Amino acid sequence: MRVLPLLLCAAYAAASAADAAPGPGVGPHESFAEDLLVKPLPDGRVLLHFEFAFRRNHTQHHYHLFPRQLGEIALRYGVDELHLAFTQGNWREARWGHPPSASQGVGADVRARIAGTGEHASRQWRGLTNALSGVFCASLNFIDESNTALPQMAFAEHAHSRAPALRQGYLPRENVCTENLTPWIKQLPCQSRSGLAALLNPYRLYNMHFHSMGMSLEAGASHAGERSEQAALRYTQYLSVVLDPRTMGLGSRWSLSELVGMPLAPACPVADKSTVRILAPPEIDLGVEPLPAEQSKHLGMDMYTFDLKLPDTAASDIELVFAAPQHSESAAGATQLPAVAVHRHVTGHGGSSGGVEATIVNRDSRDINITYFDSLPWYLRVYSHTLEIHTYAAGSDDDTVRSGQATRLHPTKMVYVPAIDRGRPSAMEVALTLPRHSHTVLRYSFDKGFLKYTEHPPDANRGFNIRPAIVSYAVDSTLDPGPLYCTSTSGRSSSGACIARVYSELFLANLATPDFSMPYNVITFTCTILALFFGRIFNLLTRDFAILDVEAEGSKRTKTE
Amino acid sequence: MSADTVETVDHDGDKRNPKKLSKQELANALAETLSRRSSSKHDTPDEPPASVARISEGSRLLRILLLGFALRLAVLTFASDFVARNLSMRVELSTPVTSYKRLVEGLYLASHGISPFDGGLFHQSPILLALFKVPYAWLPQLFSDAMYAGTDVATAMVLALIAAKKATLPAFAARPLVPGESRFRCLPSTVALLYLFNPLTLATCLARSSIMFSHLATVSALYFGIGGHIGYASVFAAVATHLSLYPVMLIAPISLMAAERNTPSAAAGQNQTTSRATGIALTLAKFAAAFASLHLLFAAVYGSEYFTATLDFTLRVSDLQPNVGLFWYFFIEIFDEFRPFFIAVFQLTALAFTVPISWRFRKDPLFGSVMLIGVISALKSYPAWGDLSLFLGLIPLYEELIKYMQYTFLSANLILFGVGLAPVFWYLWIEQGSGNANFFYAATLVYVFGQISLLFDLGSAMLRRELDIDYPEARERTVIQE
Repeated sequence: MRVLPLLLCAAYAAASAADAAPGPGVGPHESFAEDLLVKPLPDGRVLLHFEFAFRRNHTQHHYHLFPRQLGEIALRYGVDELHLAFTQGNWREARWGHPPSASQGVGADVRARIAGTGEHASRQWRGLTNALSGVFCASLNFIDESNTALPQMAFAEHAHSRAPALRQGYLPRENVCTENLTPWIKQLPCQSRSGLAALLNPYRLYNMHFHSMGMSLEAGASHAGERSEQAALRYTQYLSVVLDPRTMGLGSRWSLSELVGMPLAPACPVADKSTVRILAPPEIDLGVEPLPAEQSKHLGMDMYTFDLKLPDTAASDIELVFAAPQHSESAAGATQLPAVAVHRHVTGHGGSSGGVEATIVNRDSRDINITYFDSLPWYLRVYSHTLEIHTYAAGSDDDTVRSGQATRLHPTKMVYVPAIDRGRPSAMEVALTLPRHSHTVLRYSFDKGFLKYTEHPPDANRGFNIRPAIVSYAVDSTLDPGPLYCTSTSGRSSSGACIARVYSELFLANLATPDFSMPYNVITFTCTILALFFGRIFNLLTRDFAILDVEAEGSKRTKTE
Repeated sequence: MSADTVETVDHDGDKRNPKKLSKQELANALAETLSRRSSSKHDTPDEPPASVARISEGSRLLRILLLGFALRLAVLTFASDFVARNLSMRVELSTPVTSYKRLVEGLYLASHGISPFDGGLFHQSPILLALFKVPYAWLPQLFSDAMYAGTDVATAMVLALIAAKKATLPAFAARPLVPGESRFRCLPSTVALLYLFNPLTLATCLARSSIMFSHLATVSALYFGIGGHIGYASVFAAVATHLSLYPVMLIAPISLMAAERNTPSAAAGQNQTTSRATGIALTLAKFAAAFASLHLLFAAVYGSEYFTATLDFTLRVSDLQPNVGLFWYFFIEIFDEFRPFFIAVFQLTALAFTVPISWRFRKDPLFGSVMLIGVISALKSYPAWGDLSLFLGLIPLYEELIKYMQYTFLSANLILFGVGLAPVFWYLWIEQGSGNANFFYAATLVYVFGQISLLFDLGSAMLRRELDIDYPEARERTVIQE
């Protein structure tokens, strides 16, 4: 999609004028909405999901609400689509249900479609990651060709036929911290002075079980059926965090400001919408005080919506009252679980070889088509011929128990791109049809490479974090309400089906290390052997045997041929 | 002069210039060898009839080869689990350029329409892809196992043929012996036996290392070289070069063999030089033509990236998987700015001795080849035990040098320690984690030093023996090196 660069180009031209005279011209062409979703989880924890959505038509060419930094970056590097997520902590889908955002893999995940092909696009991609690195104070500049995969099937749902290839860079070792949060908040029009962003208290946000912070930038038709020249630019920033109120000394009754440790601020003045939604799963008996004007059902759950634009709610606090005592861990199974789950483990021991074992669970009573995408760095040398796929009938609800006979499953389609040393990671994409109520196990083996001593990270014996595998599947909304992001328009693909993505855990690859204190010793020892070889052979080549003639007063007489 | 020497001179009269050696002649040579052996053993004039010797020598060779083949195939078939667990992935046997698992991956990728050379895993020659394409896709595992076992057995057989033919070469047949020496003790079948049942060879074959194909091409090139079939020799040398790069060094001794063949013994001095030069140039041209046509063929099928992934890869050493050579730890530890320089130094150390060694032993180009194979085994970028096994397999051809070697005890111990300690230290480093990389590195240093010691010893034994032949009185006098 080449619309976005053009649009941003025009926007850039008009930007200075807009900045000089920032009028109250937030017309229908530009909108900003903020939303906080509070969802008590079955195990007593609470999910807070902040979403800040910008939307603009390309007819209005200036940066008013839209973050100019990102707009300029997208323009400069010809970005058609950009997703960025920083995540820490595993999303425990077996306890918490569907994740709040499509990216939930630990580390930093950058995906972009960049116009152009070949070397030019690669350069643009490097430029983009470097620029994003500067904006978000993250080590995204370490994303280069060697950890960028080009998945062809896993992220295909947004692509139209002429879309450029999607690049995915992944830094599994990236930590998320306040230094990333500060620039992230800076992109918001009210920053943290008012509105929901005022609730983003780093002290509480990083005392968490799961934290995911991200943004996505997309160009496309804002509503289905709209004409293409009225294409809009959608930019969303989101932050999801799972907190445990019990660790903060909160019992069965607490208010939102107690949970985040910040008072509820009035809505951001430029926001068109500013809402706090409380979502109560049916298995949790939840009371909300004061009761909001708007109550509805959403995904089969009670939803209480507070509009912060209304003066009365803005002043008050929202209290949550749990009727039952805080739920124990055992109540976890009650929530509706996602249809597909994936877990990936590393097998084998020792520093020379290993294997990957990925288990994909289908909890649904229908067959599901999925795409399994796994990209391993080049130093894990994948043997694609060892790939074996077996499927087992699920014996019980427990994901770990397998029963029944294993049957071989053949992929409906498979794309494999072998790795190049220090060049690109391997990428394996397998399209499978999972039988209903089954566990499907993918196994393949790899050899561990040996790195130069400078290529090992600090604390080399800890090993390398290996990025998660991703399973994508289309949610059938008639049976499964699907994840939260499917209900917002941004999650929908052009065909209307929502693609859910499940990320596996990271794994740690222990590579054999050289002795880092040895360079000089190795150089001297090896060169000694080499010199020994040279000396002896040189000796052989240049010196002849001769008979010592002792009769002639000790003088030597040479006899040569 | 002893009776042996007289006999030799007679024999020279018969076959001064055997341009072509038919099978019958070869059998005669085998028989002759045995008769000489028995004569030297008993030192009696009444020899057993030649016909008896011929049968027993031929059948002995056949039995050894069959036994070797059966043993290999049996282990590969019935103990495949043991092989897969303990041998296949052993770094001392399989290197990135010879590993069987990587070959299978390459075949798998090729069969799925992905270029196997567009990746960091497969670095073996397109020859092997072509060779295993059908067995991989259609035939049971037994067939490809039989190919590996058969290749090893064929190598042993060619070694035996070389041993038999060596007796008829002017370089040997025309040379007198050192007084008291018998011409042959090591039978062709013993040469085959020593190669085939060397534990290192056996392990290499069981690990299905593709270095064996390179070995077969190498020894075939030598066999045709000493037989005077320079065209075949050049083609085999080109194939061996495509398989593992370093056999390119052998083209120097092979061209000397050609020069020797090209020289009529009675030719005048000026004429001789010219014909020698022609022979060398012609061999080099044949080799270049064979190499280039193979290259063009592979480039047409797989694109030029095959070259980057195979021969260029061997030169650049970008996969630092440990092996029994000197390269891996050095290039793990070397500072980045010196990397290209030291790669050039290391590769040149091996390659630069091609011409000097060949020239030094120009009287006997076969010995020059043996020395070069020893250099390759010690200094190639991805060596394995299999490389040493070929060098060790060739040494019995020069059985007469063994008693001239001064450091056999030292060399044998160094090599045995190197071979024995490598798996132990590998286990301690990789599996247990109680050792570190230096342990394994130390074992490889000992191993390489053992080979260098053996190589030097062999070369100086040759030179010392030459002196004894030229000046038999040297045996009673003090001999120095100057």
